[in-house]
Amino acid sequence: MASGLAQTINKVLDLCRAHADGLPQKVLDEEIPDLELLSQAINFLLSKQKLVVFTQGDNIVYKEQNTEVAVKFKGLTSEDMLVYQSIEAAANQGIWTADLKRRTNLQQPQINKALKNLEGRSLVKAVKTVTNKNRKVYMLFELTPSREVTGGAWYTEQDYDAEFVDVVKQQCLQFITKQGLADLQAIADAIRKSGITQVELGLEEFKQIMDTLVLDGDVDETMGGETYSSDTVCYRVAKSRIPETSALTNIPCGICPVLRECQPGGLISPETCVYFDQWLSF
Amino acid sequence: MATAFGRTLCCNLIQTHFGDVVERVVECLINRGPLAFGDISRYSELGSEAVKSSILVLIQHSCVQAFKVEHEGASATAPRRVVTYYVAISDNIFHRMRFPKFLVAVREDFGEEAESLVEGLLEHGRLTLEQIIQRTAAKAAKAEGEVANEVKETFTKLVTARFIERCPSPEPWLNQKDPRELLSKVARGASKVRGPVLSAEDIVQSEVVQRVIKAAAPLETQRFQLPVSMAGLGVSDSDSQMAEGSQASEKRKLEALEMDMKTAAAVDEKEVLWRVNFEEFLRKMRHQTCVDTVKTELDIGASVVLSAMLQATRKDETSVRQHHSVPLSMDGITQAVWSTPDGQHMPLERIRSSVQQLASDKIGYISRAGERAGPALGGNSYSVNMHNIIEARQKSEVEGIVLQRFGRECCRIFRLLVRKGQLEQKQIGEQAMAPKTVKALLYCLLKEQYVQVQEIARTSEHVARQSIFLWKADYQVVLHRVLDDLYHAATNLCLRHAHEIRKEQEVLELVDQLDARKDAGSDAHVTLTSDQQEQVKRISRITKILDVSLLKLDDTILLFHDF
Ligand code: SF4
Repeated sequence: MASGLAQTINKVLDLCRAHADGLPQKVLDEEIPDLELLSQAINFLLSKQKLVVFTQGDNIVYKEQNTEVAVKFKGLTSEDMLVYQSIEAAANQGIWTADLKRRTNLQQPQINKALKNLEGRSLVKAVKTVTNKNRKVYMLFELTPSREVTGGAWYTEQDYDAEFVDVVKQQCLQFITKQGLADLQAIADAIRKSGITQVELGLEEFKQIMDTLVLDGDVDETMGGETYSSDTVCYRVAKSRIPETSALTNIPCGICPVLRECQPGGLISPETCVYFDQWLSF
Repeated sequence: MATAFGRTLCCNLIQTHFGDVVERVVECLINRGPLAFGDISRYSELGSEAVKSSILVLIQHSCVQAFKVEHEGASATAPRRVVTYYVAISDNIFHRMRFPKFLVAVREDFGEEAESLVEGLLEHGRLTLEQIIQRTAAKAAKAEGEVANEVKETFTKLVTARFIERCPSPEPWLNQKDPRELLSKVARGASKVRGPVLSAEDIVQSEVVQRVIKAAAPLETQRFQLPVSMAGLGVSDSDSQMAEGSQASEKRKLEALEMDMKTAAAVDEKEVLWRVNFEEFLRKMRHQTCVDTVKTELDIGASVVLSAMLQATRKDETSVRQHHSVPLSMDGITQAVWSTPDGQHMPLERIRSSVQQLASDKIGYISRAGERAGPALGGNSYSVNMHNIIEARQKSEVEGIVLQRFGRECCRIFRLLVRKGQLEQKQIGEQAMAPKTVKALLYCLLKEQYVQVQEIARTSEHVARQSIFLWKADYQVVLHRVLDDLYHAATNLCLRHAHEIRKEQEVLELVDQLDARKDAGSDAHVTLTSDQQEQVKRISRITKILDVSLLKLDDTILLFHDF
């Protein structure tokens, strides 16, 4: 019996090697008709982390665990493995614990335990997401989180780095002021060369910066000019800025937070207004 | 077109200028639309004498216009009824706070005598030529005969320049298609304290006002026709008309006409009423705004050219809000520039390049008016796009207000929405590079009604969590919002002004008394205490700040409401 089991085990492993991209259950059933023996062999292999189970569509397939990986996973329970596989499937997007629960059909404590084990072995890691700061997602340890998770170049530690954005904006504006006219590539090259940042900024990021500068009324977009061909989008310092003063905002009411509540003779009224008092008293 | 606070400001201005009783009448008319005499009396709870004198004052100052409507009888056989209605002309009421500007403008063009003549008209609303002469004589302490010629000369200049005009018909008929329907729509409106900035009723009402004004207006040819006695002094249309009828058979008629004219002249001077033509003043200020804009955006050369173009075509404008000026050929432009003091030495090349500059800018200050003019008419013709210039100015003013009121990031979001139409919050956060703050900023703008949000339900049950929320900035709504805020702020300035004066009433009265005594020649034994002097200094400083601020604020109101 024991030798029968050993034989069966070897046979299973052989079959696995023959079907490198996954050994279907069907094949196993055909090759090893003794169901009792087969299940014993598979259970043995699974418990020893020599074999992994997958589902491919409706079919169950087996693969041999290579030795290196086998060491990595040594001593993990099948629940741990289930959690690991779900996390692996989520790739660099990561997966949230609630989704893990749904995928694996495990209870929260089991999942927590599994996560603890996996994290302890540096197999997976928790990453904070920008979309929801209190929510952590899990992904394989060696993966770099996707842009959706980190927010991209403008995020430092999952936090939008407004200061950094401002610095880059100022640099771009300075360069354009000096240059008179520049296209995106020239701006990007200049800023990268200046070495103000270690962060890798792509053209996409520079475009974002320039769009913001246009919206701020600091630079104008034009087509071509000077050495640029007429179908290149170029930037130059804006001819007219957004006005810094106006007749309305020069008087208290123009910037008054309670303008809408202020009524002649009302609780808040121009007769009793303290903003006016201050304005008229100096 | 007055917003909610526009109406408040109207009432306020009337109150300051004419007192409480007149204000109550105006309040009824402004808030309820055109009313018959009895209704005014009823709504204002004033006696008919008080209403009558108020209305007379208001009509005298062109703040109210009367008009007649014929109503059908109750039954087919019953006689028709003619009812006179009164309607407030809010635009003219607003103009009252611009009088100082009008005076400055007329002095610039025609000197101090003209200013004093216009001042008289503004003060009294309407005057005959005879009264104008009398007033000038009284002021200068001279005999009427001494000043008459001088006054007539100034008068002619002002009429020719269209700064003064004949008064409109006192009580025109309004019998275009069914005015009653319009009237019934507005007359029932109760006063609205809050609500949308501009209600449908406002729009209907402004339509009525426009139609009444049109019905009352004298024919364009008569509007600026000089009194018969002075027809030779100016370039009046009637001159050329008469010159045509030179046949012998016409000669007798002409003689008869001359006889008539002598009597007519006397009648004219005594009976025809004149008033200030606000439109022309507005036109002048609007042109000035266009020229100033070009001066700051481009350069002086371009502004000189634009100014000359506007001057040359000014007489052909038919409305204050004219979109384009009449096209002018390149030769015409050159002539126009050379005839202005600033442009008389401008080289042809310079003029050409300025025209190019004006035409090629993306605002499109001027545009080529159709190639069809052809070389025969001196090449291309150009017309000034006043509308574009005014719109650009409004836009920059709005953005400035958003910037100073809500800060840079809000302004960025606002500009983004104006350009892109509709966006979701997440997109806005990304494109305006303010992902953290976008929510707070949007709600801040929403609260002040500079942006709107629309829910698009994805499920039939309208589950908010599953809906898409689209944000947008409806520019027209924002324009009204800004205008209403401007009126609101102006109202507050006026109220505070009145309040400050009231607070210092005692001292101010004392000062008046002292002045009166000084004038009477008695030595002033009483002087103000140092505290009182301080008070007087303070109040005059404060009122000055308030006055100047109001005039500046009004420049912006003009930009958004009248130009
Ligand atoms: S009067 Fe005072 S309280 Fe009222 S809107 Fe103006 S600043 Fe605000």
